Amino acid sequence: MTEMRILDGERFAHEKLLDVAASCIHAIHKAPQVTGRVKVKTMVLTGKILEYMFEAQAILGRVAVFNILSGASWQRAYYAGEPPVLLLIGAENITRSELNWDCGACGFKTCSELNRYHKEIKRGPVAEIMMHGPVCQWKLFDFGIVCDWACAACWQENVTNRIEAASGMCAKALGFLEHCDVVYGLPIGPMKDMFWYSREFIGEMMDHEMWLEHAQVNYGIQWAVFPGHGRPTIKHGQKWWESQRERMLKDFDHKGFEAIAADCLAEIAGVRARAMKFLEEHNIRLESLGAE
Amino acid sequence: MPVVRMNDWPPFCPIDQNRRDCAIEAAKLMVNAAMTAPNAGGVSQVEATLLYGMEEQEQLARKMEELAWQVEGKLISRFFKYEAVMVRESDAVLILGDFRAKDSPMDAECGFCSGQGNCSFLYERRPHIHGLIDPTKRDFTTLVDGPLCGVRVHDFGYAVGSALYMANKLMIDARAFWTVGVAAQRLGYNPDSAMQVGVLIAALAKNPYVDVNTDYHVVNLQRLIDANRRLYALYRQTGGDYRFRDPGYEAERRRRRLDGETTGKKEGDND
Repeated sequence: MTEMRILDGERFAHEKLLDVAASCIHAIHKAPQVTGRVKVKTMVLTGKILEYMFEAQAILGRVAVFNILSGASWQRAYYAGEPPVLLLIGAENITRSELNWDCGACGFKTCSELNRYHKEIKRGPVAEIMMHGPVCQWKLFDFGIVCDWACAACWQENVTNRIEAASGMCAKALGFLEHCDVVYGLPIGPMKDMFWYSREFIGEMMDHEMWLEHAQVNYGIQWAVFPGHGRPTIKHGQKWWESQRERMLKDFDHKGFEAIAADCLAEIAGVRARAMKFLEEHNIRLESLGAE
Repeated sequence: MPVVRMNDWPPFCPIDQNRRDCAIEAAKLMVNAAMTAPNAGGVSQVEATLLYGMEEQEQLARKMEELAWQVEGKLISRFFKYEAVMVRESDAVLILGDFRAKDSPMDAECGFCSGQGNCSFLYERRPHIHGLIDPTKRDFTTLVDGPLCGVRVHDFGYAVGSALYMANKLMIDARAFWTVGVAAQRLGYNPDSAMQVGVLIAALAKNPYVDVNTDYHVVNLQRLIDANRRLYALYRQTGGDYRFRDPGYEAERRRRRLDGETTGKKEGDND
């Protein structure tokens, strides 16, 4: 006779998110690559270790704002008791090419030239970039196919998700799949339609003034006035004629930015050390998970 | 009520064309999947051309073979030749192109293309005016017109991946080939796209894109059939005038006689 069980449906389904992650990983390794050469490595993070990622996202958000958007969504789900599962997808060998196709897509005439450039280019630690290239473009393309199959598999299971550079780059910065050339993150869950889109918190964070200010920077042409008189101004504010502004390029403080980026790297190193110590306390060794 | 008969042989005959129509419908759904695939920035960057028909596929295959001879001696020369055969064996070809990778980059300073935290690698290699790439420069000497924006290329992978995922769900064989894309571009398909792939599609008993023997450009089903035709025409010359003497009929009579000896039946008796 079947054992009687009465389950909280939502809790039961939430626990099954790991099974969905497994389906995604199957799809990742089944994905039909054009080169057939991209080595993919995955890792799944759940629970408290994610809190270190939130810290990293807040730090890197200072130099790459999309980390803030991702981080705020992550935290909203996590602290509401519906933590998504983070599936990390890394590609190990896309910065060089052994294909010898000499196709030119990377900007070099031959694969050897790309490999030589890869060897010669100096890469300092840079906080704000998603990946330290160069890349074989066909392998990067294949990495796209791989990530897409993970998203599609998740979608087929009716589990909300969104492929992210943000959670991937933060996890990599903390040491997860660090040996990979590039890491993307796929949040799986929570159980809500389009959770990672139409983000509620953005409406709460941004008042109309702030939204308008950014809109006028990003869509400046929409507020442009007749340029024929030689005074290209923008309509700024409800009575814009009272405080006309020229549409001028604003200088960006690069030195200041570099200082912030350097601070970010130092802070990330601190979070990383704490995260690794946390793993050690829980007898988890990344090396045993297939990460070099 | 119409009756639609379908079978895969002989290729391109009306009943085979009926079968091919199903693959073409699947290809259209694959375009949907490609167009709605995830991408950075949520802006359209994929264009598609659906190509099918004996002459159209032959033209594409021949362009690939022409390219094969331009890179003669290299391994990819064989890719072009082998995959040209596959183009001929397909029911349809879905050519997908990314029209932003070359002259409408993401400008995300992501580091993909060069490892530098800016987009200088791309802009230093493309004619541009204050960051606006001149799209009118279309000549290039390599197989693909690089360099390309890494974010766009990565996104293009999602588009092609989604098309392939749809094929998978529809139980139709499909595979993406860059060689097909290179040839398609030279034939003028997806004219705005610097990066293209051809997704070959087939609904046949045998997936034409796996179990590919070596020297496929000279040893394949089409060639084998042709060899049969050639040899058949020679060997049939052993035949005489069947109206006067037919060795097969004589052999049949002998068999029947022998059968009669064992079963007691005489030649001409009803069974």
